[in-house]
Amino acid sequence: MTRCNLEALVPQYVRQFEAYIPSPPDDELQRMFGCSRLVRMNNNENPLGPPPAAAALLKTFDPALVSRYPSGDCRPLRAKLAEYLGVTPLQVILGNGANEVIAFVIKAFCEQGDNIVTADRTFAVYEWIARFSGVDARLVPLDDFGFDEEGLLARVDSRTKLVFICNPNNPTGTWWSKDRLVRFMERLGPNHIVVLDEAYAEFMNQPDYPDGIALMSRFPNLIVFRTFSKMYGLAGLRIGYLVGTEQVTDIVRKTAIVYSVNTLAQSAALAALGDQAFISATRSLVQDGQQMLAAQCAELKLPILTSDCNFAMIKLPFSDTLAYRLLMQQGYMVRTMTGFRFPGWIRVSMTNRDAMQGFCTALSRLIHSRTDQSLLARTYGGSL
Amino acid sequence: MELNVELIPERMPVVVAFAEAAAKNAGLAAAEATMLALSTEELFLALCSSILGAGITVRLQDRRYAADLLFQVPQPPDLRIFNITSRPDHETEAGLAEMGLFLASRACDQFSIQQLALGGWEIMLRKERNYPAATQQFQPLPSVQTWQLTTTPAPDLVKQFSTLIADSYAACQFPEEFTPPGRLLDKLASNEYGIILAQGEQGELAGGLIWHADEGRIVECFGPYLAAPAEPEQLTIALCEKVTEQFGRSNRLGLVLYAPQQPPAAAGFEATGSIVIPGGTIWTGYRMLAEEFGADAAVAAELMPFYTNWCSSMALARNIHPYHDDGETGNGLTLFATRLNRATGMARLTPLLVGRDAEAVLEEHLQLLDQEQFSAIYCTIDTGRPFDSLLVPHLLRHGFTPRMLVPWGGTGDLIHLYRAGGSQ
Repeated sequence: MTRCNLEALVPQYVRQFEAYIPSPPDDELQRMFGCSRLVRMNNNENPLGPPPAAAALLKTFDPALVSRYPSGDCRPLRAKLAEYLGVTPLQVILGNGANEVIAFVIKAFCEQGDNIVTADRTFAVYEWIARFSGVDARLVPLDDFGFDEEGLLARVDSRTKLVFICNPNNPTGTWWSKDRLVRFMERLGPNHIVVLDEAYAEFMNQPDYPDGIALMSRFPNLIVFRTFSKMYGLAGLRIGYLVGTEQVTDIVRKTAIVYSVNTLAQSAALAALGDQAFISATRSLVQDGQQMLAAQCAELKLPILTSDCNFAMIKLPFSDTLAYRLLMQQGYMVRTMTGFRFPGWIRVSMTNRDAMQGFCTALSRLIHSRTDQSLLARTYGGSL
Repeated sequence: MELNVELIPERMPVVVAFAEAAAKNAGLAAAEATMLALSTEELFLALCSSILGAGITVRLQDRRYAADLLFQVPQPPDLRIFNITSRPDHETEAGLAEMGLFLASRACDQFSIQQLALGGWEIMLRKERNYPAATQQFQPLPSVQTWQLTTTPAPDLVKQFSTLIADSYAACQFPEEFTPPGRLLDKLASNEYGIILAQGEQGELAGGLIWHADEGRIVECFGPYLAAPAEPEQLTIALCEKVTEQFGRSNRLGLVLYAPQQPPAAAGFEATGSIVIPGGTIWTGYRMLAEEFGADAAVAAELMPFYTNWCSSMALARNIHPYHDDGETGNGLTLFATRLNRATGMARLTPLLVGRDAEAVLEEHLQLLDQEQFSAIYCTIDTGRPFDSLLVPHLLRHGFTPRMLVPWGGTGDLIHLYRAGGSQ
């Protein structure tokens, strides 16, 4: 058999990149960690599921529709989103999750030699997609857990095409006010695109939190990302979107993959959009969870970062990856923050009351058992 | 620099001339370049006797602190000759070739063979540069109250750090390559090593940590080595967190820390036992970087109590398969990669192939290492390579005991076994 010379075929920037390995299915994890149930608190999912109208639609979905291609450019959904957001349908582009629209934008604006600027401790996918596309990702340290305006501006140069701002930031939950965003846009000028990732916008209940879409008439170099995965509980269907000015979306559309959003996802999103009662119920659940977790952390003397978002970050007095393994044994799956460059922190997604209480108990047990040292270290010390 | 030739004895002068020129080009002194050329000569002749007529590519890799000569061949040579104990046999031509290789391995600082992922085999000869001894001693500094961390320190600060280590810590507490200062600077320039230093407000050195990342999935960290911080525990935590942060979003799965003292739990390292080094014992810790999803592990019955205890303590999710030798056919031969540190008297054996001759090959290695007075011998077993388990009964019978577990250190987890030199 002739051997394919892969070394010669693979670009250096792909060769250096390590594939992301998603977690195995729950039953496999339960078997490996010996737990009888698994509460996922690692992906910031909505424990209420999708809004009632979307849930009803999913139950009665006509299987005959599956044999047909979906709307290639999500036309009915774009129309409804446009009406809901106060923009034109041409300003909206949907993708198979927000991750896909990140790729659309990077492909549309960047070529090798260009760079993107973002924070070092934020959602990793901007950095990943840039790097495996051969584009330099310039990472600016966070300032007091938030995006650093001065630091970002200092790293921008003539080859900077995109500045990614996660607002509120995942995983810290910090956010820029409208004034701060406007000031940043004014200082940056019109020669770079600013991507405002508002994946968690629907959770925000702050008068000063900016609506990026409303600022587009003033700053046409703004692109806003949103998703149906978080508030609307459709993570399993993979659907997200971007909004920009028509001039901007005309360009992004060239690199957007059509037919990538399936019929079920489009229909569920149509049914889910704008359910205010559902949004209120979710916000209330999140608020309860944040309060419960903050009280527990106060008791355990653990630093915690809470926000309006459906997650919180907790600093542990030992390794986060060890805590992850020990919590898995108790049936709770959290996100370790070492991969976000926050060693010793975990990110915990808010879930329903019973599960939150169970998690608080598990966390308390963990802290009390491990604050000193591991069993083996005590047993063997330095003499093993 | 690269050279393509045929493996026939007539080409030997060309290859040797290439090796010498390449070594000088990489900055080796004349004596070191000659030693590398001598090793090249012996290796080339040994390969000629093993795979006569095959094509060979010789390449120089300048590592700054060392020159590597890489010999790529398309087919496997007789691997037996690469065991360091292959006995010189003066009676036959093949024996003489093996003897040459025996000499080659002694004239260079590192000698290894590996199968390349994309086909072929690569043999590496490394000769390191010599450096002048440090001319200055570390000057004790007043206690540093506050500090800042830097990953790109000025050369002078690195030199100070090297003398701090040499003057304030026992020789067993740091790898010899961290001194003298010139060598440490060249190691850092090679990008295989990195450093994090803490500086006080006036730029004075407060302490630091050095890491070493080779091609594997684990990063080795050494330190923290501290000068005189007011809060040593806080500085230890800051240095450990910084190195964890640096590799947090990378393809590395874990960090192994070799520390003069056990750092606090808040530094994030889990205790994994201690290792004995001639002259003392150093504390080791492990920091997993990724989220654990579990793995299969093949473990010899004899190591089961050790392995299961550690898995339980470290909360590792493992499907453990006890491995029994039922007489099945394994590899045709046993091959060890051997790393020797003559300065510290430490030897490390890593089985590359384990065959039915394992016990005999192990015995030969141990005899030679005892004879050459290596006082600490380690052997590493990989739970992701079931045939490694065949070696375990022989290791235990020859005085090895399990000391340390490194999760995800190889294909699976690595178990380091230790034997004091001369013990049975």
